[in-house]
Amino acid sequence: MVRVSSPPSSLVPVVVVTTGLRGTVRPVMDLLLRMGELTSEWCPLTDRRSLSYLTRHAKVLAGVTVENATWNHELIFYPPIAGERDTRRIAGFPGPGEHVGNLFEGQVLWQRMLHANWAFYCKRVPRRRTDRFYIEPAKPWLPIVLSEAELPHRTLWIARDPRSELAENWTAGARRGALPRIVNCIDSPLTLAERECNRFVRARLDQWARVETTPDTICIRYEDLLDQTGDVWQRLRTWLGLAAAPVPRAPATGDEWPATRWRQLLPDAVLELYRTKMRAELVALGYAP
Amino acid sequence: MHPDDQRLRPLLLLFPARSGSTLLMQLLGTSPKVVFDRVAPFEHRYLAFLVRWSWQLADGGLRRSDWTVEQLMNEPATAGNFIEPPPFAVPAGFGTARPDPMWHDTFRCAWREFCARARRAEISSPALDPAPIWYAEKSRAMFRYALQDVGIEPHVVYLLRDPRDILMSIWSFNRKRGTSFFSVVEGESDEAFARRFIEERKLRLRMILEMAPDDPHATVVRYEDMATDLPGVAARLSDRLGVQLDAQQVLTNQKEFSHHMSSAGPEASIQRWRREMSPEIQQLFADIIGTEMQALGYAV
Repeated sequence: MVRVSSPPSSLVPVVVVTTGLRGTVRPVMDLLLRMGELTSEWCPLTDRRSLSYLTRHAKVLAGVTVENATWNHELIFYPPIAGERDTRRIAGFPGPGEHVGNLFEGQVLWQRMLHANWAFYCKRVPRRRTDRFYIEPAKPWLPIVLSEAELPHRTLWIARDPRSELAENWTAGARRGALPRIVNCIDSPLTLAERECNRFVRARLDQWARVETTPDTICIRYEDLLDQTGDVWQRLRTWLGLAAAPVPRAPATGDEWPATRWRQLLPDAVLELYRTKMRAELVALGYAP
Repeated sequence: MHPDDQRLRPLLLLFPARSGSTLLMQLLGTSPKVVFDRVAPFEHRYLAFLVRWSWQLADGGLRRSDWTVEQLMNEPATAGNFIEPPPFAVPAGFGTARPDPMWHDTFRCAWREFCARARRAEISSPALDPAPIWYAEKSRAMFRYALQDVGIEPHVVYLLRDPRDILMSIWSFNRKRGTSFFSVVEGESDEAFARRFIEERKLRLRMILEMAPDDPHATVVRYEDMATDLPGVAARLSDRLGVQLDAQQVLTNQKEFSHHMSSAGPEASIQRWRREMSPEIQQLFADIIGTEMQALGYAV
């Protein structure tokens, strides 16, 4: 049990879990940042993820002994001079880790330091007096680790039709004259879709489907956020405990990407693949197979 | 007790290699009021680790090109994974443009936590004093400056040894083990290495010469004194640090550390250069750092 609680001046993190696709992150953050009482250092240009960084930074103290050719006592001791030493790389303590990770009055050091660092960060981050929340797009590991550290937070899961993400990822890469990062040079939309279906998408859909709306967690469909902005806006404000406010215009998708454009872009074979491999999951989330 | 009262005061040993730092750590280890891992050669540097960990929040920079936002986001937060300064513009919340940057708070908090845990975990010895005062570590000047930045004044012990004997000890150590430690570059001639070594020593000797003789936060310990009169050094340091150091205990255990020595014993390691060093290299010392050595009492 971590007994250090964040001071009242701390902001409550709202972790927006997406697949990381920029086309998904931007409109979601565009809407959320207009809510008031929320602050963030994230913006599309800087892509700052302060909380993700501080969490990984704290985890270094988790008490795991790490000593190998690229990380050892020498690298701690000597100033940066050459090769590996000309960076500020750091990993777990290269020796008996129990002293930098041990339990003390029930607190593990990395958890204690994550709480402390979050408070130090909140003290310095530019914010309005009324701000109560800090918002950041993140990957699914972040809320899990924050829960492990018992740092109070909210998690907003963004579900999006995987066919739409596949189409956007594919065409966004083509528009820039480069392949998207998950694509190999020998991929076609079909092979990419197959790999996605087999390895990632089923687990993700299952994860979204199981998210229950609670005081701390909510799941919102990306498509609803674009098409039914008013309803989503009110749901989110209620979930965060914010007073009602006028509904803003629907968020911009950046490149005018309509939610159903994938139907025209993806080959029939790809659509059939999704239909046969994950019909049940798609239906459960309200997506027409 | 106020949390700050539980903090141990850092005792940093600043030393060139082969100048008796392990012997001095042995001596400090005879007091239960001095905390550090009693595992030879006493190089578990917790303080250096926590300083460098806190520095990650200092001002970005010094990142590898393959440390990107993608990598930050996609790797789960697992202990043991590498981390580098933020792979994006430094967040304003890190306060690097303010007089009280976040890393100062981070280090102070981590140090307070470590001290409390170190007391509880008895890293020092099974018979750790209930109220230890010092945390000792073999260190470097940059860590002293880092501590001063965050408002913690360490006590520094400078180890001083005749640089000519240090050079002989380095060569002897490497010959004995077939290694090329202490920045020895393979293929480099003895004279070229000696010249590089002497140039490096110049700065260190000047630092000691410029130290105020009555500096309450620094002490100079000569290797030659430790080798010939360890009880005298123990008495002087005990007085200086407010602890009780036991030279006899170290002398009794000396055999256990024979593998670390490169001469027959501490006494034999003094003025070894007179017996083993070539006149040409002796002349190099005289030409480059003769003035500094004489000012520190070493005959040239």
